[in-house]
Amino acid sequence: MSDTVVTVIAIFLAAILMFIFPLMSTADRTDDISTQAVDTATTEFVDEIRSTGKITQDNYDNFVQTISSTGNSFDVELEVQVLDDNPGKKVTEAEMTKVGENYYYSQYTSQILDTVNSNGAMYLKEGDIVSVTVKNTNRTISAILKDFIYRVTGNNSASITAQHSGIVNVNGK
Amino acid sequence: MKLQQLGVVFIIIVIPIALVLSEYLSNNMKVLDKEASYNNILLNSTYDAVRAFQMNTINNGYSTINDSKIRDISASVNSFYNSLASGLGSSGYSIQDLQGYIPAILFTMYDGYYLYGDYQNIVTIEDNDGDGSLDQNYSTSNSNELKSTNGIKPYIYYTCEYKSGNDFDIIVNYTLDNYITVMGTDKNGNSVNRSGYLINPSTVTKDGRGNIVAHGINILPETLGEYAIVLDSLEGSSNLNPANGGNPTYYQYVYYNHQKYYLDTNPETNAVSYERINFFRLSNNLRTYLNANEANELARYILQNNNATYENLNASNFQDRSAYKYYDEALTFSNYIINDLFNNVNNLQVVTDSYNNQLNYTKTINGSTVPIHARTGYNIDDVFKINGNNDPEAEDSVFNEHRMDVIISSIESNLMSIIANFNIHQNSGYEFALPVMTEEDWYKITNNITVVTFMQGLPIGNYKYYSNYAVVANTKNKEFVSRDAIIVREQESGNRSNDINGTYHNPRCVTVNDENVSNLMGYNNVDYEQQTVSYDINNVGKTETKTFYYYPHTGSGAYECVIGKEEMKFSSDNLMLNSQLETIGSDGNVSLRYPGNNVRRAYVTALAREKYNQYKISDYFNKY
Repeated sequence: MSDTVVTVIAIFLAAILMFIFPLMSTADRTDDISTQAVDTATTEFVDEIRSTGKITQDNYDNFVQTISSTGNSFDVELEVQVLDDNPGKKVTEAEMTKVGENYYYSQYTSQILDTVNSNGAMYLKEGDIVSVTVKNTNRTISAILKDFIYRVTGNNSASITAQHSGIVNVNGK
Repeated sequence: MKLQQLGVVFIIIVIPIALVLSEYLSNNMKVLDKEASYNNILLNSTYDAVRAFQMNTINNGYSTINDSKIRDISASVNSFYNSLASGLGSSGYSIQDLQGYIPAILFTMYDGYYLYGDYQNIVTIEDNDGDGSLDQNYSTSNSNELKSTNGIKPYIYYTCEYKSGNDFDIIVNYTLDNYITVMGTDKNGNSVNRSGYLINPSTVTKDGRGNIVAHGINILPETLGEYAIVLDSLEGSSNLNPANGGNPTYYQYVYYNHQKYYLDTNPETNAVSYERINFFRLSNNLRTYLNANEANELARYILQNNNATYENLNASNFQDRSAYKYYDEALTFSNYIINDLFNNVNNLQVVTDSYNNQLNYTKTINGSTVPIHARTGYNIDDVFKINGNNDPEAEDSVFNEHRMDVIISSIESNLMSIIANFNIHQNSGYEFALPVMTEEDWYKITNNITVVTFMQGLPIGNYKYYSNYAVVANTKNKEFVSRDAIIVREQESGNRSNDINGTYHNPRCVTVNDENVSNLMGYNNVDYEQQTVSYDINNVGKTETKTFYYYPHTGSGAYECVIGKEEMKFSSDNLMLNSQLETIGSDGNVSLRYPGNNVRRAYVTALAREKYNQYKISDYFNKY
């Protein structure tokens, strides 16, 4: 009797260890590799914008293609904070380069892509800030498995994310 | 074997593999993260170097003079190291440590470049015998004692030498634009040294009465003006005194010999230098009034009349002639180059080594090996055959391609040797070498004033070393006026409370081209930057520094083209060549529009004027 119980438990454990654990570990590694690829691509994309001063349709398409090649679908959020030095000019004694006296307004994904679509490129200027956030919208195998085993992940959590931002170094032309 | 045992064996095999794999991957991620953060720090520090250079030059009236330039570059190098050290501070690197990882810094200027790197200092200057005078010590005997020092190496020009036949031997110095200097002997064995802007002469016409029409624009003298805060040195006072209570005042000015000469309608009669002549120039923001000789020389130049005196000048004829001079001189120079110097010269051979020894340095793209910088196949003989297909002012001309090839080959060979030499002075075990630079980066370097920094040899984990470079272009400077440097606004009235409400635009903006206001004026973008005037005053034995800020051109930047750039749809070629812009409306219909003729006039004239007044060392060749 007790032998049967042990065997059942052993089979159960063996099933978990032999199937689910390797599966989870592999799926996790796949996600890690995807994260790595997406992270690198995002950094490169942002640095490209920072050093050329423009967001072009070409670069954006390339970027989306690179991250999609990981086999996941992504939500790409762009934000450009445009430096407005006009308010500073109205004050006679102000020094524009002083920290804290800069004024920014923001433009987001849809506005940016509209401009890129109609002009072929969105030009930025020195001092603007660009930031890109990427997260996956599909559920990766790793997330499904984790969900199945210990249900810590909610439905909206993304497992592959990348974020990079920086100040634009040059006037786009 | 029982199932349980099989299970245990499986686990024993799989768990180590899974652990090692995850460890390896997480390690790799750390390396990548570190590399990305180093890239970021390097780019930011390079940007700081550029900013330091901008701030120093924009506020410095002598920034284009060479020793001032070297000082500005040293300051820029310092801020690069400071910024890098604070960026890497948490990793425990100090400035001294970092010097071992920076094999070279490249500063490209308008007509050449500086390299910052380490070299062996064989002469040390110190006071050996304690007599108060400095002695030079040459240490050549024991090379182990030689100290390597970091510093700026001598300026290198973008230069290339051509030979043809027995006599023809010409050295051409290139720049970032179409300005060239030719030196050497021509085909008849006569010596040559001239410099000027090489243009396509068929785009400019000069009629018998001396009127010049360039790109369809009648080039006329312009009335220029700007706001300034100026200082006066007053009689009987040791302190400097700001004119008009330190408020910006509008002055008309003209350029003469690359310097601004202002017309003063409200002179400081108490000023030390004032000789009852209402013209001044600025030296360190100090108003220096002209004497009669200088003022007469100015009048003769402005009125183009050898008998004119300064009394003939007034506010309405105090006009700048630079744009006219630009096209006039470019026309003469280009005709000389095309119809005389390079006329009937065939089989040109380049004899410059760095150009001929194309570096044996390749990269692999899609399985095939290509040189780092691929030259397009053109014939050297065609470089100086200027016509509609080879317009030196256009991007895709043979002249421009060759110019870029010359610059790249020179920079490449010098960078390669400076980075390779770095190995001699370092014992880090890391082999320093010039990294492969992308074609886009080369394009940036050959068309802008740039700072390029290299950082190599930092360990980043996983037995890997960091090796990368950063290129940052400097688009706000007095060294080089690029096609995109012009900003237009309506002519200022001189009434500050009105002018301050004006708006300035990028000439490529659709709004300003549609409005096409008649009194538009173009100025260099540097003149829209904030300027600083500081001076010391003695206040009861204590020295205080007073600082004023002002903008030479008032008003605010337009939101559609200067602050944001949504409406910047025209290209600079549209403006220069009067070509149409194709826009697709929201209804899907294609509409064509020409740039506004007033915008074109302001743009073409301002670009010529600002280019003409850019300080160039080789200019003296033309002054006989």
